[in-house]
Amino acid sequence: MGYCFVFTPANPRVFTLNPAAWLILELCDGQTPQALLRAYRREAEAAHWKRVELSGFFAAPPPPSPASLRREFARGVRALEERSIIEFCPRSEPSHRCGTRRRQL
Amino acid sequence: MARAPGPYFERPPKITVSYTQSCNLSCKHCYADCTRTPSPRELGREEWLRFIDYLVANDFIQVYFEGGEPLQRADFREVLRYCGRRLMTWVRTNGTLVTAVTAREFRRFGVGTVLVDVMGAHAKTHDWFTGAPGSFKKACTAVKHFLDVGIPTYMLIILNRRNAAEINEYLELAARLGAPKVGILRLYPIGRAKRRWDELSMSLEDQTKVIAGLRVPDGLRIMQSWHPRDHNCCWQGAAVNAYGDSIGCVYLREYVRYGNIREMPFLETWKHPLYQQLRSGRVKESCSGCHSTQGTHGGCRSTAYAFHGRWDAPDPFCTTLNHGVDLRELPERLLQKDAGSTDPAGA
Repeated sequence: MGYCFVFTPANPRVFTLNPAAWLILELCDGQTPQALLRAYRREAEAAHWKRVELSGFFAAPPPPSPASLRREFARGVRALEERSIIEFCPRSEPSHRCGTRRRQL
Repeated sequence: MARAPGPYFERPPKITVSYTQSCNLSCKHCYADCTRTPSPRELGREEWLRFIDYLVANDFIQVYFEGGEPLQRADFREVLRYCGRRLMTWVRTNGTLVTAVTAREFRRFGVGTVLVDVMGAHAKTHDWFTGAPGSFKKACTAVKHFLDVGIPTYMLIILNRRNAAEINEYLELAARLGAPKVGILRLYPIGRAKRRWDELSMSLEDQTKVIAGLRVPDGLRIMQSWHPRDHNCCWQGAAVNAYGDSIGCVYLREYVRYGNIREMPFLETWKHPLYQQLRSGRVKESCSGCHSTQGTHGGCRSTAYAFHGRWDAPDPFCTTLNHGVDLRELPERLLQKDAGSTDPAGA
């Protein structure tokens, strides 16, 4: 997985998203924040085990803890929201991507 | 074709568009050798609008308009309006045709970044280059107009013998105007600059002293590409000139033609063998210092080719790769009347 460029036309900027931020952006399809976090944990854990598998299981690092994934998720969401790449409506409402254009590499 | 280690794009995410080769000024160093009125051979408004559609449809994310002077053409505003919210849009201008109204228009159109050419810290220096008294004041005012409407605005200076002594005053000027960034650009042996090389060029030693002696005001960022920041950016290079020729980079304008967008889709030109070769990064020699900061190999291909006549040559603007090349002396083949421009590699 490489990088994703995001253009925000409302406030013209191009951002480069790392894989974690990119994953959050991909998952923002109207899910509630709680569902987003669950999906993020599933994907992040699957990616971890894929890396372990590819490395042949030797000297495998421990999987990320739920707490660390929660922190990573929260940081990523905050960063994306601050840059108007995603927007959250009130708690009860789903999360959306803002009107962005993306280029994935 | 074997791929060298380093960055590589299947398709470019950004492109430079030389919108016109016309300009209201007649700068002594003009790379494009601009005329006052646009040539009838230039792409028309509709062609540029369709090209914007093509870029959007093919996942480009950024376009950088330069010229000539883009505002010299009356239809540029319409193209900018069409483009600004669909692609991250940068515009390079000499600033002399910019008013407060222009700046507000650019903001409304969604222009993301503006770059203004200011060739010295003082009117005497800048106006000498442009041949237009008052152009320095207009350029500085343009910087302020764009900053006033909230568009990030950088200043660009092409370092040469006529302005080197005032480079630190230039940085202070940029800081006073509020520009967040200054680009100190290398002098390239193309266009009118090539013909005035004796007058404008500096030895690499003198250039290096200037860069080493920069006193950067707090808060101001500098972009420069001398060692150890000499990058071979051909790996991502995409550019189209005013006539629709795909040229990879505006600094390659006299050396290559990969195809014309009137005759083929731009991404067909991306497959040209020489274009692929330049993007591959395969060079005979690379500088580890520059590679460690830039991730690329061998430095600028344009100046490597200009001074050595080979696409895999080392860039003599890097102190590690210079090997005794005197940058004040241009090879005879560059000074020949039709060197490159009528029969460029890849045409």
